[in-house]
Amino acid sequence: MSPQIDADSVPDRCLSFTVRSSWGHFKRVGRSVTKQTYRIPPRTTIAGMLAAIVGADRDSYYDVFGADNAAIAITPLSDLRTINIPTVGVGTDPGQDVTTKVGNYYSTYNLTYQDTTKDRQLHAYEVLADPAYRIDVALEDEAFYTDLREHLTSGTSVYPPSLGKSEYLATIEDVRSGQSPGRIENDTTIDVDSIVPGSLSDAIPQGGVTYGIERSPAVMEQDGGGRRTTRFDDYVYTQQAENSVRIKADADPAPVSVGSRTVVFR
Amino acid sequence: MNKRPIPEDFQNALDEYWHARPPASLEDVMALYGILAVAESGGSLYTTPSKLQPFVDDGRLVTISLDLTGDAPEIADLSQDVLRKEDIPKLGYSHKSSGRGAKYSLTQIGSKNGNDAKGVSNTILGRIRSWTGQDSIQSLIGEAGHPDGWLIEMLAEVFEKDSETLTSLQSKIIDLLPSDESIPYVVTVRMKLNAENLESIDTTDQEWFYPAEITVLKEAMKRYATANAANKNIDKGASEGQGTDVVSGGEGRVVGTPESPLGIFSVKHPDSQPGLRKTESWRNYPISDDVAMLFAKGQDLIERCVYRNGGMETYVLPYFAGEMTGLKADALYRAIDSVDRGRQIDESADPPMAQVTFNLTENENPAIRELAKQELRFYTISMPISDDKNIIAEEPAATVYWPTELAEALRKTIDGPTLSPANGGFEQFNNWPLLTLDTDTTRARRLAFARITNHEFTDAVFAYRDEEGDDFRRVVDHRLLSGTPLDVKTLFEEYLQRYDNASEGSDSPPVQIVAQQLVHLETLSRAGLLKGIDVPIEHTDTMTNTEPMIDTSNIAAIREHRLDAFLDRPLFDDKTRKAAALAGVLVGQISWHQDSVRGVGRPLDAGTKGDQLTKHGLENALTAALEKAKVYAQDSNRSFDRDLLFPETVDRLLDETETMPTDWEIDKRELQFCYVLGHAHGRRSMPVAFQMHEGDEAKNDKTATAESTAK
Repeated sequence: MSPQIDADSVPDRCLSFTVRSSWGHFKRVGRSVTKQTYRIPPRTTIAGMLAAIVGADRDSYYDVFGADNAAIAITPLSDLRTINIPTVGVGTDPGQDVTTKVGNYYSTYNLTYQDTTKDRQLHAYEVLADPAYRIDVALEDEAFYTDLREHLTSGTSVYPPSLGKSEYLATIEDVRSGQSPGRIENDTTIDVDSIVPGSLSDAIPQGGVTYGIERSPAVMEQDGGGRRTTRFDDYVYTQQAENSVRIKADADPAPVSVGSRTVVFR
Repeated sequence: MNKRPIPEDFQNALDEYWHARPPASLEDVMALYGILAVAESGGSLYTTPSKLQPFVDDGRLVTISLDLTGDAPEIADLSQDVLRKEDIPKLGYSHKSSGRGAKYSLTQIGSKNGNDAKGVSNTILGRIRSWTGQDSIQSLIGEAGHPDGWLIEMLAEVFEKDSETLTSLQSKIIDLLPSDESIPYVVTVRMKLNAENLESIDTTDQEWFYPAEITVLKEAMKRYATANAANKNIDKGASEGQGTDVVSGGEGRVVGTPESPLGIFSVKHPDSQPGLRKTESWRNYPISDDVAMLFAKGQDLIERCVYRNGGMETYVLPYFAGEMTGLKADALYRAIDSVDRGRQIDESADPPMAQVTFNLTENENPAIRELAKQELRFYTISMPISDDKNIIAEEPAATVYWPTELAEALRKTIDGPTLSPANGGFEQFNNWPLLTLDTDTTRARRLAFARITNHEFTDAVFAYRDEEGDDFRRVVDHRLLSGTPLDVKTLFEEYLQRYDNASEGSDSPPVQIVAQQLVHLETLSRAGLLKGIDVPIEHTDTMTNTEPMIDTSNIAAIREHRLDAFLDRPLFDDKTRKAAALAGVLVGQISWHQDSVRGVGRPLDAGTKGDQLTKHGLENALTAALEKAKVYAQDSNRSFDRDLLFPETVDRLLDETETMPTDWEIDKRELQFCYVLGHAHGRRSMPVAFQMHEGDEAKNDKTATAESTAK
């Protein structure tokens, strides 16, 4: 049977694994002129990565990762460090750098391809250095969940998982299946290892700990010829992996323990 | 209308346009600033009543009354009267400041300097026609449009070029208005409508309506005002759809090319955005009409919060991390409004971040001071000033905690033994940002905060950069703002490159360069923002900076005392570091002697530059220095030169190490930095001793020294 997820997004069972790469880039919405990355992979990115592992088609899996039938917790395991890497690339503007002229006037075929004889252009990408995240995931879709568990435990995947860009191939480590999250009862404060949905004002200040905040896509749906985001989430994180987000025990998020970690699912 | 907004005005604007979440993204902050601007300009997002102010009483309102209840529209009346203040709300005027042609509302204006009758009949009526013909307004007609779209269609018919109605209107205007007098005109259309035929109208007992009373006309105004947000840089079609707004989270019409005040979002260059389909941008970046308008409105306030310096611009946008209220919005607005971009404090630029911080943290209202303490955050972004946008550092929730800590650490360092000659330190110097602050503690903290937030803290000690490209110094500034410690290896590397930048030919750079670097290093260590080294840089005991008892009648005694005090710091607990520093001191002292006593053209340190120093090179220099210390002593007839020049240094050097530098185990840059520190001390060891000297033994030397110090 697949996991059941309650109204607080807490599942009764979940899969846990670590995903790691040398680099990561999770392109931010609202930035097109600059290429910047979120510090934390958006929930939709995790959905896409898991869909790649089980080999789901594009646009086919959004319902599996809906707001109510999927629960995902993300815990950064490395310090969130970024650097700007200049890259050179061939242009992709259909009006300028792409040609369909091949063969001669009488050809019955044409090809669209990039004109590689032009000057390369310089673009700086902001990338995460040595990113590693612990992902806890539960899906109510039984077939998908079973597939995912089998791929993860046997170390296989249909498409290779990567952290944001295909060249940042990721490794999956330390897979645990059948974890059962347990509610944490505490009367004052709780230190959460994962990112915590909500706003900065929910995080209790701690000396020497810098909180960051992001808002990124969380849930998507198929729409016409493409997809659209139906929910964006705010979440608080800490720059250093060893620090945790401290929240009031009676705050909205429902922290649970998964193994030795305290996480919040969403 | 031009009065300053009060907290209620902000509360109203928040109620109207703000979501319930505290700000969490740059988009949130931009929208928040738009809301502040809405409250500032009278409370409306689209209409701009204040722009009609110049027409009130001096100008005329021309009202075209159309009867639209029949099958065909009829001109019922044309009248003109003085424009009164109370007319303004019903006109629903929305100003378009850029470009020519029609304003966003059906109500149009002529020139502020006035038009004659012909001008009104041609130009202003032409604008009404142009308004009805806008693509964005026409999109309300038809099945996919607004249920009352037919009203717009009918208006278009009335004002159609060469139509009967338009021609007759034109001649009526010529008859009505004075032909030889220029008067500022506002022209509006009043419509007689059957309320039951229209969704746009709630009341049933009213016959005549003004533009501000008809929903479909307001919707048309919105569409026109935000047209650019859906089709900017798109040749054909527009980027629009139904979706979830990234800021408000609300469902509805969204557009995909909103205004980007920082210029970081655009669909202009598909070549640099692989796979970009311009008309689909709304899927990735869905922005509602209202939020797109808020972005545009907030631009002026954002511009107040930018600090430009050295080819870089740093946006530091203040906000409160908690739930927004009218009171908070009011405080935020006032803080931003108070920023004076040209302000200086003690010849250092006082950047917006410092001004906003102190406006709030030292506010006369204790509630605001507390708010600043708890909730003040800054969204910071640094990029080179260029059309080619490239963000090199960004911090979404910087607090004032770290810059405040650093400012206090800098103040303590400058006040401490490191810049006290009697305690073996360097001297304070004016016009060097890290070598002096105000003597008053409060003003010193304020000044230190400014120097940390205006880049001087980093720029004073890091290697120079070309103006183009990524400036690592700004990345460092952002790390400090967010409390990320800096690695000592990175710092030594930068310090020594700066040492090289500041050197001229074979001359060592001024002592102030090295002194600032030590102050910088110590400040970071004191604030807890230094890593990669096993010891603190500041003195660990709570050493008070009182003038110690020294025998100031004896040059050698002063030198010895100062050397001991200089070496008495945790950095030199390590024997190799201490030996490297002592080697530097001796080379500096001998070089000074060569320079000012013996007139040697090329002193020893000219060939032993700190930033190029190798262990081997240091060994040679040290051997030469020891030798010369003996040789020169024999030539000297001064009482404080015994059989060896600078015996205190030589003695301590021999105490510390029995091996020569080539056998030392020390990182290259660490060796170099310890050496230049020692060298900077050694070069000034005699001059400072002369300054402190109170005997009459060496009057002549004092004069000689004054000359050599001045160079």
